[in-house]
Amino acid sequence: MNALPGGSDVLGAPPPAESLAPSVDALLRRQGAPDPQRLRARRPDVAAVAEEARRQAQALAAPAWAASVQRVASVRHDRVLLASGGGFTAPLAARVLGRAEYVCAAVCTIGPALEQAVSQAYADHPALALALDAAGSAIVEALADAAAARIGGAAGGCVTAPIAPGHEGFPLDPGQRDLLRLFAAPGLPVTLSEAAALRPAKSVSFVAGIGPDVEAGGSVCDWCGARLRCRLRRAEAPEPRS
Amino acid sequence: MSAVEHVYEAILTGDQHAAREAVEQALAEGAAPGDILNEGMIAAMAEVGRLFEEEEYFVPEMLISARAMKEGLAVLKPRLVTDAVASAGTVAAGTVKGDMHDIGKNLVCTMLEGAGFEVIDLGVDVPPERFVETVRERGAGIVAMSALLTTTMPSMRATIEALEAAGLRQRVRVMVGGAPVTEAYARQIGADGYSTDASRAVALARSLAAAS
Repeated sequence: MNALPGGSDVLGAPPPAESLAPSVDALLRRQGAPDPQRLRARRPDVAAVAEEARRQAQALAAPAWAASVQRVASVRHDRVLLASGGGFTAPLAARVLGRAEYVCAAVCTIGPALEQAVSQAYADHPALALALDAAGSAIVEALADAAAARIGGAAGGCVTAPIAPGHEGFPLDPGQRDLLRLFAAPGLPVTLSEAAALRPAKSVSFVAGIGPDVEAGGSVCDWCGARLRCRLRRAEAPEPRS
Repeated sequence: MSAVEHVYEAILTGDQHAAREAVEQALAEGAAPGDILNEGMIAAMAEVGRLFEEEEYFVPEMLISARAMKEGLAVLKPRLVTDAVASAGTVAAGTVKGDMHDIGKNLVCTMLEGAGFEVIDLGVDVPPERFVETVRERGAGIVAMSALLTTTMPSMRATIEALEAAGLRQRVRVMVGGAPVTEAYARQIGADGYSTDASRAVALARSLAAAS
């Protein structure tokens, strides 16, 4: 394992929105079009809407992120206690982070401008609003993937799959509150709603375990009972891990 | 092709300008507003829904068709009022208390409007009492609730309980949806129906309205 910085500089500067935006075909697929080429031929007007959404999303997204690396103090049953006094109580957290030496929590956002544009666009052009929303989700997910990759790089690959409050076995509330408490200073304009959802909505949080003994790689889908029916599944996982 | 068929075609292909012109033309030719609505617009949106369910159309195409319908409806609506053409029913729709997600709810509202329902869009973060008030004061026959968070799903049950407490449960049908919601959950909380997507929400609303 490489030496890890103790705090938020583990991530460095976030990539620009242009490098995170999905291709138009990827955006069409994300909206449910199985064959973008066929769609382009059949409905050029729909493809043009996706092009416009991609252009607007790149202009509106303002990628920002923060990370907090903390030493694991103990793991008991479902409780992961950190040296700072914070931690998580969740079966998934204990299972994935249980053998970690450190936990890295990250919060990524593209800011509020894109979702405001979605709300404004919906009345006049709902298809554009929907495509813009999908593009925003793709950008913030790509940002979180980039954050996880940088954490993995800093940890020399000794890092678990990222897991997040809201995943099966990791309740959103209090998981999201516990995660944000790990950040000493509010370096990002991200808050929690009453229902423990991140605001702005186009924000993603996750935690990953770091250490020589962790089970590196994989995906949260590997542990999820909903993986065969989940429309959000991002990786094939034929059988769950026990 | 008749003027009403032009309306149908314009909506099916999502051409909003053609939809407006076709409705104007149909009215100018003396077509009954109710026929333009039912045989032109609602029939076209029903076909759009069928194509979606058969995976020929995808969500953006449904929305582009719905926008064309809205454009045509803007021309037709004053005549519908004059001719007292009945709507398919009134739906009070909203994302439940604590939940700020609006895209799914907006899709359902758009498709319900396209199917001839009068939709009262209550927005997001809607508390139970607001649903109750809307049913009581505006006569909504269907309450449609959306939730995207497991932490806000209990507000669906709270809303149904509030409708019961207000003595309104028997006169309203309740439908629910959203990513974490399942049919089993809908049954568990006493909802009358559950839908996986906006197109099926229309079919569900129709069946609930017919059963009322």
